[in-house]
Amino acid sequence: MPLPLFILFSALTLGFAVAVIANRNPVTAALCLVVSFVGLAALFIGLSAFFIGIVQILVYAGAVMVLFLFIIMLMDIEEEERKHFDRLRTAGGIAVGIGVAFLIGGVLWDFDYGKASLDDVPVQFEAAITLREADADSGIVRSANATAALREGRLKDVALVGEKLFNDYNLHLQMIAVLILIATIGVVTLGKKDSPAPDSGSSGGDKASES
Amino acid sequence: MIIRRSALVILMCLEIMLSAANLALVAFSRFRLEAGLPDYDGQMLVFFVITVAAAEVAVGLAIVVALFRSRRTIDVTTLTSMSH
Amino acid sequence: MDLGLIISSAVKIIGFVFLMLMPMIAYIIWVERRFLAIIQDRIGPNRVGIPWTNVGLFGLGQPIADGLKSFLKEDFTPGHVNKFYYVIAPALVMVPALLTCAVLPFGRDLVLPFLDEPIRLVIADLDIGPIWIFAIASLGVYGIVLAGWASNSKYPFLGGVRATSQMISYEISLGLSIIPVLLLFQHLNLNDIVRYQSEHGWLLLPMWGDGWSVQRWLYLIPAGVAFIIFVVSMFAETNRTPFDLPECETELVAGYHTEYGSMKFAMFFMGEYAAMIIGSGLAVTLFLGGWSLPFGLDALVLGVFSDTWFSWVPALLSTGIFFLKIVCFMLFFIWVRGTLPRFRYDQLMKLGWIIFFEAALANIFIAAGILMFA
Repeated sequence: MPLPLFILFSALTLGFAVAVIANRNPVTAALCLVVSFVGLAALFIGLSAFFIGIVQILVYAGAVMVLFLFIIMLMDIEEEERKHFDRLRTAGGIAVGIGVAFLIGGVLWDFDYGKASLDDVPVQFEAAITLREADADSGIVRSANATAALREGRLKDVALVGEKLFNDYNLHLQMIAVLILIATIGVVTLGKKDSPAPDSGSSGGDKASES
Repeated sequence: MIIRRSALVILMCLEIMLSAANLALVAFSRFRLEAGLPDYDGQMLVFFVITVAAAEVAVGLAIVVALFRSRRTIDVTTLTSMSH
Repeated sequence: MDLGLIISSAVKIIGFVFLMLMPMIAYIIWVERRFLAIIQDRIGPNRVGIPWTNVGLFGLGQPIADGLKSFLKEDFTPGHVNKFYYVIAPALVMVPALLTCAVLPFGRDLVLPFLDEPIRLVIADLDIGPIWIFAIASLGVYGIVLAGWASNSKYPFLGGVRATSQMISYEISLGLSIIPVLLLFQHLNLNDIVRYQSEHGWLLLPMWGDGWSVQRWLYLIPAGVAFIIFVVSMFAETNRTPFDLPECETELVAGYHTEYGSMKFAMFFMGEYAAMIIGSGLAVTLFLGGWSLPFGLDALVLGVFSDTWFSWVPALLSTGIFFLKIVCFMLFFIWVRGTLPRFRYDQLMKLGWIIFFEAALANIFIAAGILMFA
């Protein structure tokens, strides 16, 4: 990812994330979070994690935040009033913030900037192809599609993620499916009482379909 | 939590925190090559975090709606009936 | 970044979006009015031609006149609206609709005699085409929600709420319906999908290449079901009749854009048509072979124009075919609008959640079964 783009998207992500916390209007906060998530997705894509980046937009910006906005609009939540801050708590919060800043600063200080660019860690296509072919010969399931793409010098992210997911994380995937089913049932039960909750169940269903 | 009292905004901030962790995971998965390719184990964890977070938001929002229905407010500082 | 990539991308963006898509949006509105008029036994807009002459040109000047009218009208903002969101909402409908076209392949690789490498006729050749389209299209909801909310009056609000729940409900069946398609092609790159269909038969017309196999004919069942679900969900996603509940005039005046006028209203209008064209483009690409000709005629065309100096002809021809297919699909859209009455809102939700969701899930299992055992 070129440096100007990286700076642009990280500024977008961080700036709008701060705006989420600083804004008192809930609709504005939700929309700032959407922009922040889109910037984050761009950062993911810059790290050649295309699938995760798109899923970030699809799930967070496309489904979860719409749900938030929907609830905010339906419940007609007004702006929060300005309130007095508890002195002790504010001081504590600032102290923790300064501590974290020092921690991050310390890590950055010690960081070896020699390997800070993605160009220094290029994807090693030849090594990957040989290893994958050896794996395929010894009976481990390897997507031929992805290997062919690697041979053309393309990183076929989705095929590789899918391969990993269904080879090594199959049980986890099924557990997630059960979890989402339970969440859907829970949401429907919670929302059912007098009038049906405004579409809260849809997100659960959405996720179930994606996994 | 310190300056925001709306349960909805607290849920949003939770998402930001999870996203920060996700970004770190994806960045490390890209920089730590495994067999010449990005380490997809890290991205798997991100994938699961995103899925679970979506489920968590659905449940959280349902709870907020139920809360709003019974109390007509979602200000977390007024929900103190358990402490008396 | 190398300069060639930037230049070719810029040319592709300007050529595809501004020289093909935008005029198409303008003229499809005229086509819709004329076609609806034919269906309803009227004449439709037939007067606007060249100014100050009597030349009517079948009313072909109508879109230009309409565009000028929208630009010149007073840009009135009602006093009770939330100004900021009121202004950005139309843009938020338009921008995602145009962004999605980035991954649609609109022609065969263009081979130019004076260039070494062929130019791929797609703006961004991503390996995640359909998911990209769904992800960006789902951002289009925000424009409608914000328009409804910022208008600060009851009919737009109801329209916005309806649009949101309708769109997130149908997104699920839309996403699930194309999984059988992807199972067969094993590609997520739309250009690869079209190339596969060009060589092995369209998904819904497997009659050449190795398309004569039993498996492909059996696969017509899940493919057909997927096509039906996809098209109907697309009608719901783009808020078209018979699912135009968010803006149905008998109940909600004009739905979410009640408070909008002049160019802002025109933006909503254009965004809707852009979404329709991109949706048709995706349907054509996935199910009807994209830019390819049927019955293996592609190889014939390539053979005829194999000469170096005519090597660009197949690419232009395929672009023409792609747009022809889209126009046919749009005529189908208009035909449905002229034929079917509007659904009730609860019927719409029931259709989405109870019928299509389950049907799409079952369809995936049928498709996987055919791929495994046939």
